[in-house]
Amino acid sequence: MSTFFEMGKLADEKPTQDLEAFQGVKKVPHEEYYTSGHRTCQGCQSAQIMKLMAKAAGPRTVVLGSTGCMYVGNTSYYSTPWGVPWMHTQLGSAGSSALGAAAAFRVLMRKGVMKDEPINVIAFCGDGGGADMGVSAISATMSHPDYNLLILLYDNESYANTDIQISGTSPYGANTSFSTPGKMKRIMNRRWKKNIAPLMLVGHPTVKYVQPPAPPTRCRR
Amino acid sequence: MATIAVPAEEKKKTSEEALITGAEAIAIACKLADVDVVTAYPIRPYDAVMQYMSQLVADGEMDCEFIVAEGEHSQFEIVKHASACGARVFCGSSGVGWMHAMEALTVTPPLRIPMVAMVGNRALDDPGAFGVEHNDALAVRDLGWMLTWVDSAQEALDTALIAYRVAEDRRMFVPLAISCDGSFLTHSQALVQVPAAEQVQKFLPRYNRGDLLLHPDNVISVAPQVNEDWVMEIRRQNYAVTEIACDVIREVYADFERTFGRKYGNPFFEEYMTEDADVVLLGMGTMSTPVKVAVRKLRGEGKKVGFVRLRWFRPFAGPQIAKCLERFKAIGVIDRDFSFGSPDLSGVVATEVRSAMYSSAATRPPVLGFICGLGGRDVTVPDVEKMAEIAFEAAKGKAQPLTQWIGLRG
Repeated sequence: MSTFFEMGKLADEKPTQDLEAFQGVKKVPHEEYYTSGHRTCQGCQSAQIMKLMAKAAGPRTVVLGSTGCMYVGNTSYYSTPWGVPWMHTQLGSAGSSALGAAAAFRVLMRKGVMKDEPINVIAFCGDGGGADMGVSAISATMSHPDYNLLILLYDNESYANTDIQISGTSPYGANTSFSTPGKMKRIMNRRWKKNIAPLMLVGHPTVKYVQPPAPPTRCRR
Repeated sequence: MATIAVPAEEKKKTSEEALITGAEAIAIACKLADVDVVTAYPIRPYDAVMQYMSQLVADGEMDCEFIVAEGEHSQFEIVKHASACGARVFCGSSGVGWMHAMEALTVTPPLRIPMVAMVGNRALDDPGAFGVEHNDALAVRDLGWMLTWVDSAQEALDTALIAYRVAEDRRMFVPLAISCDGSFLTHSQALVQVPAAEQVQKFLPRYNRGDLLLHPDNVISVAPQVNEDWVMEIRRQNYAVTEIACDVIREVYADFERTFGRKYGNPFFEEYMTEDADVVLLGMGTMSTPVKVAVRKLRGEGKKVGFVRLRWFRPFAGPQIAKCLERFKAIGVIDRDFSFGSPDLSGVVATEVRSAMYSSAATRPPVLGFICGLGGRDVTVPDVEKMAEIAFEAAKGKAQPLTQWIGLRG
């Protein structure tokens, strides 16, 4: 499964957190900010990504989680795996929810109502929510130079939580319940995978950092 | 109709007069309320409020994050999450823009987000139109939004301040939409008493989200999956808000009167010349102007007609409205909206009034539904006279159609 990150430009006044880099796998801190309390499939790599993201981000973080496996298979009341504050957002709202949180923190700190500190604002989405429905919201958010935020898109090349349908990042020929091979049409999905990472990088002048999949690994489920 | 009860000298210290539109009045209210995050997206006619606000921000008169979104869905999502993180927010839209935000609007009440939004009522187009129709704001009436209609720039400013107090009351924490008739209120100017900032600060404490705040110091998970185990209980919590909403609104209006000296009396509806009326007309928004003109004209002819102007649509003060209306011989409800396929094919307000009467009225006067003024078409004084005439016929016992379209071509 391929994964990649996008990061908004550093705001002029607000620094990001000064987090110590992990000095090798044996020196990774033990604190988990994404722990037991989810009910994802055994071996779920999206959940692994959440665990690593939360571990890297640390406790001064707020996470906005858009609808998908990482919502439905994760926060089922009474349990939650999140050791940092987390809020659900709509399927196409990773971009807008991150912007709202970042804007609130910025103004409340400026007005002296909230303690002034860099808070990690991280919104996650799948390829369905991020590369399809939520593209416009992410694109708009990426154009704002004033806010520190991270959009994490976990790309499993499908709408997975609804039992696998093609998304804009599904490969050509993918066999899913919306692209079923049949007697007349052997291949239903004749769309090529959308190149979302360069789209975000090239089109938005103030985006500081985009990590595309490198190298891509496929997961056969 | 607001009456100013503050002595003249004190009035000079605590307010200044301005000739402003309904949209500008709300922009000024947001400035006075020290709103923190505002999201804007252009659609007529509400967006005048955002144009005024942009200038206030650029001139340094207002300190907020003024974000231009890329669509109404994002617009309302941004402020929803900003509010969850502790910011006082303002947003707005009109017509199909409001409908584009519908997913966000739907989840805002159950998330207990006290958002104040302005709806510049506009026809849902297609068919292409810019003019006033109430269906946009009414579309959220079942979802837990509070809804109020104002008919003057003064009332718009005052209600915006009241709205923040009501919405941000910890017992409430639900969003509130203030409807201003497109063009007729959003873009017409009137003299408004603008209160001083110090007075507003006394009236509006800082928004305090308490233990619901999304912040690293408060490790909570907001809006998990609950399914059939808990959805019903969460809905019941929103229901509990509606059970006390009328009381909270009354409290806040009383405090408004104490602070600013402007008296609205009964917050839920205004009565005009109803004391000895035989029939009344009922409606919301700026139709009040032609209706009041027609009522005075008919009174001059010896016809005993009055007008009830509904301010609060949600919560709908059903028992109070029924108690008011039961003494009349006929009621004509003027709907500046449509509700295709409804019982008796009436508009939304008529259907709700009938429902309230059925439950709470001691009598059963005819409630006639009139559809008028759609798509920005004027509700004219002759239209109102015609509706009053039909109501008088009904009062005499002559059966009238339950729904009639007034002012239609042909």
